[in-house]
Amino acid sequence: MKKNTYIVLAFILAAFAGCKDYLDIQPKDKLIPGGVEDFRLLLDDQWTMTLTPGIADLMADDLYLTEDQYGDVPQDYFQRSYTWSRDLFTADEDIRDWSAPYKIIFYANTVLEGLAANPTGLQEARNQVQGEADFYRAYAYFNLLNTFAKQYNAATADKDPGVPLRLSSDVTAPVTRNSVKEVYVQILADVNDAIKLLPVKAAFKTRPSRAAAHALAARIYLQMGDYDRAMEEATTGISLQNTLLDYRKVDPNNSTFDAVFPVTIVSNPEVIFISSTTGMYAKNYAISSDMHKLYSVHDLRASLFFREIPDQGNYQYIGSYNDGGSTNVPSPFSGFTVAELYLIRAECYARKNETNKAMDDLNALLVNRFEEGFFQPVTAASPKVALRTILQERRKELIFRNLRLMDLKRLNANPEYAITLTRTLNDETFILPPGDNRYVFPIPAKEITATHLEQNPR
Amino acid sequence: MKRLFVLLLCMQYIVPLRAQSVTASLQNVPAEKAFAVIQQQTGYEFLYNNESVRKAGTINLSVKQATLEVALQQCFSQIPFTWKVVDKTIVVSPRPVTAAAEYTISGRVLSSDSRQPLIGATIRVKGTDKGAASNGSGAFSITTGTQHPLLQVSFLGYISRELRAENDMVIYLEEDKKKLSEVVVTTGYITLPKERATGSFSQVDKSQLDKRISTNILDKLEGLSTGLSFSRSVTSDKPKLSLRGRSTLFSEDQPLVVVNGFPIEGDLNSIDPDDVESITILKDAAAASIWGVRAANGVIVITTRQGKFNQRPSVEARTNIVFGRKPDYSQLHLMSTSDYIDAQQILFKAGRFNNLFSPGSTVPIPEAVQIWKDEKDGKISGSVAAQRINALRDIDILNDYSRLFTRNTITRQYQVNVSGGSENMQYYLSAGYDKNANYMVGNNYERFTLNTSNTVRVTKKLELSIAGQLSQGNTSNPFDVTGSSPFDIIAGTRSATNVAAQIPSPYSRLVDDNGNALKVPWRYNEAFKQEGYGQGFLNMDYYPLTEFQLMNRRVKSMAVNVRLGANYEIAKGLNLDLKYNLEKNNGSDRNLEDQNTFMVRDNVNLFLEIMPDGEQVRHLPPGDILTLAKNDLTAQTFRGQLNFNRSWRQKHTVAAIAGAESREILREGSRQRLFGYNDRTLQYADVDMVTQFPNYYGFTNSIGSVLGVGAPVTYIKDRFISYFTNASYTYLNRYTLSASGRIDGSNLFGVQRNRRLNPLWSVGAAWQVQREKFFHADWVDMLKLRATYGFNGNINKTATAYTTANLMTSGENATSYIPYATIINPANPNLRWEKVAQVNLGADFALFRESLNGSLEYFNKQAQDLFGSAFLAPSTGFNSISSNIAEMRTQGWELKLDSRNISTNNFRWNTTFMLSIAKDKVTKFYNTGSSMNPSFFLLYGGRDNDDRSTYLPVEGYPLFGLWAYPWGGLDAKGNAGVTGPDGKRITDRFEAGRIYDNIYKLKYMGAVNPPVFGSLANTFSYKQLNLTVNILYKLGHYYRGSDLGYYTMAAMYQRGPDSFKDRWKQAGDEAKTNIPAFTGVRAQDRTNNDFYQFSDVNVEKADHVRLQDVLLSYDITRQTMATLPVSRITLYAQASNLGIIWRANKHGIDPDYAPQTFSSVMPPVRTLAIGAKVGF
Repeated sequence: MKKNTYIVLAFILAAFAGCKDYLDIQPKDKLIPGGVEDFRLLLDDQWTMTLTPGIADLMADDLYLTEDQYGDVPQDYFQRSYTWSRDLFTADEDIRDWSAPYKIIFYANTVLEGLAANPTGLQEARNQVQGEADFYRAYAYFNLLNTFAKQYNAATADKDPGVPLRLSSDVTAPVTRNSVKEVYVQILADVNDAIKLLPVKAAFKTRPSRAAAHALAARIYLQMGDYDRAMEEATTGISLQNTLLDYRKVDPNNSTFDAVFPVTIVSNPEVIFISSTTGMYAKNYAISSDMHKLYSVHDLRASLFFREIPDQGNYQYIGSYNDGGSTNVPSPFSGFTVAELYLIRAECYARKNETNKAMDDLNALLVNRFEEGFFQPVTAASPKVALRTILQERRKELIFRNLRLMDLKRLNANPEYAITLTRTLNDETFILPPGDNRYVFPIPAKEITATHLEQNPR
Repeated sequence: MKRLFVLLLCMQYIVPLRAQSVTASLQNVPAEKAFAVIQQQTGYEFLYNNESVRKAGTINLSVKQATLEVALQQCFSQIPFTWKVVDKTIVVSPRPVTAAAEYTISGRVLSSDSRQPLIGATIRVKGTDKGAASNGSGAFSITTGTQHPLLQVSFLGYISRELRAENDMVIYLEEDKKKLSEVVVTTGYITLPKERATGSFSQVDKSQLDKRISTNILDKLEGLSTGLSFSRSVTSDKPKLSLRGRSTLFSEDQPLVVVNGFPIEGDLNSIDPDDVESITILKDAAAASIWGVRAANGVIVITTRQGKFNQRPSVEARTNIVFGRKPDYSQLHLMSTSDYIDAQQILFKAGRFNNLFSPGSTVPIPEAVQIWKDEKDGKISGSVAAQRINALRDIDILNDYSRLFTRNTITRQYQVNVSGGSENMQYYLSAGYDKNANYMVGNNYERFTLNTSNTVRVTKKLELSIAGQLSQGNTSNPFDVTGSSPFDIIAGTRSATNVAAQIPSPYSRLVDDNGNALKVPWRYNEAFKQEGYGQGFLNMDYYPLTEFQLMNRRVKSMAVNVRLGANYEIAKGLNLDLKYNLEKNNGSDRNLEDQNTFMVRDNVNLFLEIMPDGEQVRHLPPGDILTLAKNDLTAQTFRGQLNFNRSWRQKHTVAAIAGAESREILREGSRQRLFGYNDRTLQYADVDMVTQFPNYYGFTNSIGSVLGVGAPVTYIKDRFISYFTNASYTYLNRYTLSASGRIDGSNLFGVQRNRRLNPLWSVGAAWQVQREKFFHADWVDMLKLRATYGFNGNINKTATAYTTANLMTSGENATSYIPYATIINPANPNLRWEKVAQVNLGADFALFRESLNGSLEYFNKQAQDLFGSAFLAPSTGFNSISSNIAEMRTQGWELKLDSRNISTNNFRWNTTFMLSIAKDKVTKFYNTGSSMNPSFFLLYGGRDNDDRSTYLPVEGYPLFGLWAYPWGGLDAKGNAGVTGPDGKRITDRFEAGRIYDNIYKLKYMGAVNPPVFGSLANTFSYKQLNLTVNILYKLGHYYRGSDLGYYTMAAMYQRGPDSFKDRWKQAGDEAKTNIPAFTGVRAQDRTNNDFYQFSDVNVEKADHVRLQDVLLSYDITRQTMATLPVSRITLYAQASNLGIIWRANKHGIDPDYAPQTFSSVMPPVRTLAIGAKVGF
């Protein structure tokens, strides 16, 4: 009998001893990212990964709203940005211009940590995923700096407060504000890694390609004032992707239901990488009729980007590449295009006094923007004239891509190009002088509460 | 130990010797003991034959300062010995048997419960062969040699007694099953006598369950256990249970329900209540912690009926039929049609309907509004308009609705069962059938159940058992919430939140005088319909009655439960128990939406595309739409357990178990929708679910986004492994110590491996005070004190320790249409399961010959590691993380009294009183700034509903607390205001929001859930007639009254509450009413509505007492009717939901079903049940 007992007991123990793996099952509809194919899925989360801040366009001088339109601006802090209010964010608002890039950084950190922890997977796939994560992290930090830190100044960059560098996915890690220089060092390291790792072509334009990484690098160097490197990156970028959309061949009536840009973003050959701002619905943006006059009558952008709002005296923006044929991505396009590369290189040539090369690049772009038969190649008498022309064309071409405030910040660094912004609303005039503290957005109050970061003066 | 007690006794009861006087108070002591006491006090020595005196049994000696002679006489009257004093020695010798020494003892034996004579009881003189049996009137007579010998009285089925004989004595015997020491409690793992239990158990037996007629077992429990409260929420037809208040914020809050030792995962409706033998409710840590991580909300253990070994087959049949009234819509307290027209006229005059008449408007125009418009446009005269309007005032759509769509209810239940057993097997078989015709016409439910339980003794040591249960339920055209959604059909939705969303005006009619269905204004106005027909649209009219008649939905559920068991006796007292349980539920839901329903027609129109060449392309083909859904559940448990149960020398009793179990729960579901379906040919059409089609309405939609089924496949697998032990040790049947421990492991998503194994434990002690020798209060029959402490766990499946992503299907990525995953949680490696520490102190007592039994308990639950949203820096990329951050305390008292008030041979009156107090308080919760915004609390606070995302914990207050603005009264124009903290009147809604910017500034009104509740049941019996009256009460809580509907009336044509008639109408009314004016001005009405709704004048005390039910039953047995062809018939009738006896509010509102904004639950209708039970 004793023997039977032991047999039975041994049987039961054996039954439960094999249970070590019994609990290690994963739910089918959830994912604990661990392998390269999981990271692939995370980085394809377009709704998260391709978001950029958009608040800067509300501050910049392109936007012009009537009183009614201003009243319809969806969020309080959007309105206060428009009037450069010193008191910008309230205590409990979720400022997506801050949190959305950091979410991208969290994804990137998760992927980079995961790749380091798990060495399996095809090298090609690993490289691509790693390169993309590097690209996204660099792009997110660059956008954060442009919104929440001072313009890069080599002399003070190691002292100017930048944004906290989070390089791990640990949400409990303490943070302080790293200097602008430290953040740029990280951004450049990431973007250079991305250039090395990314494939020349990406299967989808929501995935960064090598051209996208060069375009990002060009944008970064331009913002830093490193025109040699910016030109170099733009050139490499152009060598990888150089087709421009020929606006002459665009059928303006192709938009089915509503006034939107008639070419879908997927079929638009000059789009290198798709990203969108967190800001307003694209059609909430408008420009003044003065601004609209900057586009010549035969400039196709005048009608493809804008339509007149009756009785309001301004023009509604309908030119976001995102809107092409799809109502799914309502916020404005803020990604990279071949056009931007041409403009960056043109500017660099002009700054290096190579006027002809600068004008060649500019004309290479503009020929695609004018009505058939009305295009006159632009010429410039001097590098300075060339530069002013290029900056004007840059403003017109890249409108509402969240780039204008960045341009103002870097241009304000030089008194010759500095601009004082003014706007009038409800009979009140607002002025924003060059270099004003209000060019830098305050850190959201929630962040200060949680991490006690140093606040930007306002 | 024993010596110690003797010593204690001596110290207390024996007065030190004085010459020859004796003082003693001894109960049932051996004669030798009495001799020793006398010897000690008097100095006289005793001389006797030890052995023969010892056999004489025990005696009582109760003397005070008595002479030696008196003391000795008392002693020797009780034993068959005599004495004489020789010098200082008392010589004891057997009393010579002589005729002169004979005594006659006579008396009667009665049942203590019924006071009926017990015929044939055995009365025996202890230590002799003398005895007698009671006669037909329970009387007996015995002749003995001693005057007051010990008698042993016994009767089958009753507890034997031993007592000292007296003349003309009446001996009461107690029915065996009622003896407390024989009551067993079961935890699902172990069954133990209640007297040895240390924990807090509530036991509900079959006779109590039989006192309420219901098809649902849990409904029967209401009012039968302390600590268990029921609340009916707006969003579910199942009552929400809470045991001893609440001890979690966002995690599972319902008690675990265990059936025959295994948690039931499926629907409790699969259990036929007639099969239930008993229910044990495990309340404290010692009782419940054996259930580990699922025990924090308490455990309800249901045991179904079994046969008995060596029992003749017994057959029982039962049937009852319950009649209920149709719903009484006056209970919704809605405004009258006439008031609604007045309100609509105010809105019309204020120009609020102007947009209905603007070109391009597609919205239907209410009939009254059209009349006023015609009058204004001069199309009809003022008198014609007034005449037409007045004709509408007498119509109430609810009358048509009630007449056409609802009916009185009938519920039928039938059950027959057989049980019995032979020497080697026991069996129970039952079959049941229920058929309910619910209040909505066409909504029927039927259930068929089979149940069997068999145990076979294979050898002396091995028992095998197999039990199975099968239940098949069919529902036709189900409604989601019983009695709460009368406008489902009218509003075109099944949501219970649309009760008042009566888009067809109250003056719409559903049928004409000939009974033909009428269309009501719905969704589109006539101009738009005409335009649509021009495009080729199908009919766009809405006929509520036709819609109702076209409903065709069938929900079926099949539940199978199989238990296999083997019990092997390894050694004396040691058993090995192996059990396997399989629970399988298959549910199917088939909804056929006829092509003539509005929904189908409307969607066919939506997907009509007009091509540039004018061609009409229907992307959604006309035809029925068939929705098929399946939900399957498979739960399997394997358990191995060693039971040890043994007593040594009547002193030590050990009961222990140890075991392990594994459990797997798999839930699978699928759902699909077929379009263009033809139910006769069973053909359907393929449609393009993905492409965005442009439509006439100016949008693009894909069929999938409008009519898709969401996630078509679900698959969730949970696994648990548990190791458990439970042991108790009892010494001398007086002192019991208990301990239990359990370790649970699970795959539950995210809990990190090293924290998966979660130990939970308890300890307890109990003391049977009345068994102590020093304790002798005659009136106390039983007094047991107990104390326990321990931990129960709770799980939260939403939390996760790893970075977790949701997998998204392709097509949702806007430009690439590739699949992706989105992170929903950052890693949180410190996650733990919630746990609840509980102290329980209890006293069980039986007093005055057990005529008053009861228990009193105190508990204090400290819930720790509760989940809540912890605030994160936005630079983490997340706003919050689900984390163990909160704490909560719940404490309370429970009192249960069973009283036998009157007990004569013919008439009995028993009372059961229960009182429960449970108060919860959130003791730790971190609120971020935004979540402290009072507007959230005013809107969502104090709602104990199923939507946990609306729970708003506030540190220092109950989870479901009510806050309000201090009311500021009405001004001279009848507009509402609230009072600011500085006493100033606030008249602006936004200003109030700015001033009251923190919840702590608002006025706290109280909790929504009753802190005090209980029941009072009185049972009166006259001969075979029994009457039970059940009263329930809830005290100390509050409810917020309905809003005024001022906003929704205008915006959504909703019919507001009847308080409209009491509103401010003219100057001076502000002194008489608190209901603000209805101005027709949007902003002012919104302010009036919100200020009134959220101020303290609209918060009412919810205290009430309810007459739950009255049961009348009559027993016919062969004793009362010799010709009865069966052994017993019980006839019964029960009236239920009889209504409120007393309430604190003066509005005639039932606080359990108070009308609320957007939604109302109607009080349950009164029902009358009649039935019969026959025993063969």
